[in-house]
Formats: sequence, C-alpha cells, structure tokens
Amino acid sequence: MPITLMHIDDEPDIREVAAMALELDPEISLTSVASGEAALAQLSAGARPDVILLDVMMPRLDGPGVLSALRRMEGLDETPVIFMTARAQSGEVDRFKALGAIGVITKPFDPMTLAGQVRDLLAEARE
Amino acid sequence: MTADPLARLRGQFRKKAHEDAAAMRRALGQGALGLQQVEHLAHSLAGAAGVFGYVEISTAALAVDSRFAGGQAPDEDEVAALLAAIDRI
Repeated sequence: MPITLMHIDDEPDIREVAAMALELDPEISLTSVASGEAALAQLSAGARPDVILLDVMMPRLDGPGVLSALRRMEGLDETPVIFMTARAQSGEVDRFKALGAIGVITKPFDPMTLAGQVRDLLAEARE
Repeated sequence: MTADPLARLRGQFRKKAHEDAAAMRRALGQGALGLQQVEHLAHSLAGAAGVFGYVEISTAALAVDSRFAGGQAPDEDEVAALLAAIDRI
C-alpha cells in the first residue's frame, strides 16, 4: 500500500541514510525535513503525510514539542507519529506512547529494515 | 560485486565524527558551560554511528548520553573512551 511519510531530523547524515533506507520501499513517498519548525510550517501549509517519523532530540523545538503542536492542528490530530531516539529505555518508550506516538524506533536503526519497521508499526496502530 | 550503498555516507560520517570529537574536546575545555554541547554531540553520535556500522563509537556515545539522560555529569573515562574510539577510525 502506498504511504506518504514525513521524516523530521536535524542530523543531515541521518536524514540521508533514512531516505536511502525508506526508498528501498517503492511505495513510500518521502519528504525529509530538517527541523521541527520547518515541519510545522509545511504542515500548516497543508502537507498531510500518512505517517510522521520524528526525531526526539532536536535543538529549539524537540520531537514531543512538534507532536504537541500538530495535535492542535486541524486534520493532524490523528496522524500517526513514530518517534526515533537513541534514548529508548522502557520508561522513555512508555512516555512517548503516552504522548500519542504509535511507536518508537531505536537509533541506531538498521537501514535494511527501517521501512518494514514503519509499516509494522502502522499496521499495529490500525488494528 | 555489489557496491556498498552506504560507503559515501560512511565517509561523510567519519569526517563529521572527527569534527565532532574536536568540538567535544573544545566544549570539555569550557567546563560546565560546554556540557550542553557535549550532550548534543554524544547524543548525535549515539544515533548515527551505529547506523554506519561503528558499533564501538555508538556504544561509547550511548554511555555518555545515558549519563546526561539520567541527569548526571558525564564520566571522564567514558568521554575519553568515546574520543579514543573516534580517533581510531
């Protein structure tokens, strides 16, 4: 099934390797964004991805801040969000899910399985 | 033979890791003022290094990052281990 995905991460090398990894799935249409502010600007302008892959720790506006903001935006209150973080102890994962994320992908991620992880989390959330 | 799709990015990562190590050494020289930058660099390396197969750097960076996540000051030996791991690549 085709999906549109917005990936938000301040690290250029992570964005690039994630793009390479996600493009292994020909049915994923990807938009990469370098900051929470830029992402909210695109979403405010009408972007409506099927799923958002969101880095937790970014300067200025972090992942939870982005999630909180987009939940207040019309048409984005139920958009599935998956956090990406290097700090994925169980307590943190529970906290991210309590914020409304459908799941957490741990960094470092495996480029060969990233697209599959996203699809699996989406499928679980839709069950 | 299949070309390594990550080779170019891995090269970029190595260059950036050495820049990060230099920045971390400068930040450490600033004492408490530099700690936020040390945290940011360690966190970034913890996430990126493993993606590119640099497990030793990723593990060392995660140890430093975990101190910050727990609200603690970084452990000197763990920071030294991270910098040494970067120096080896």
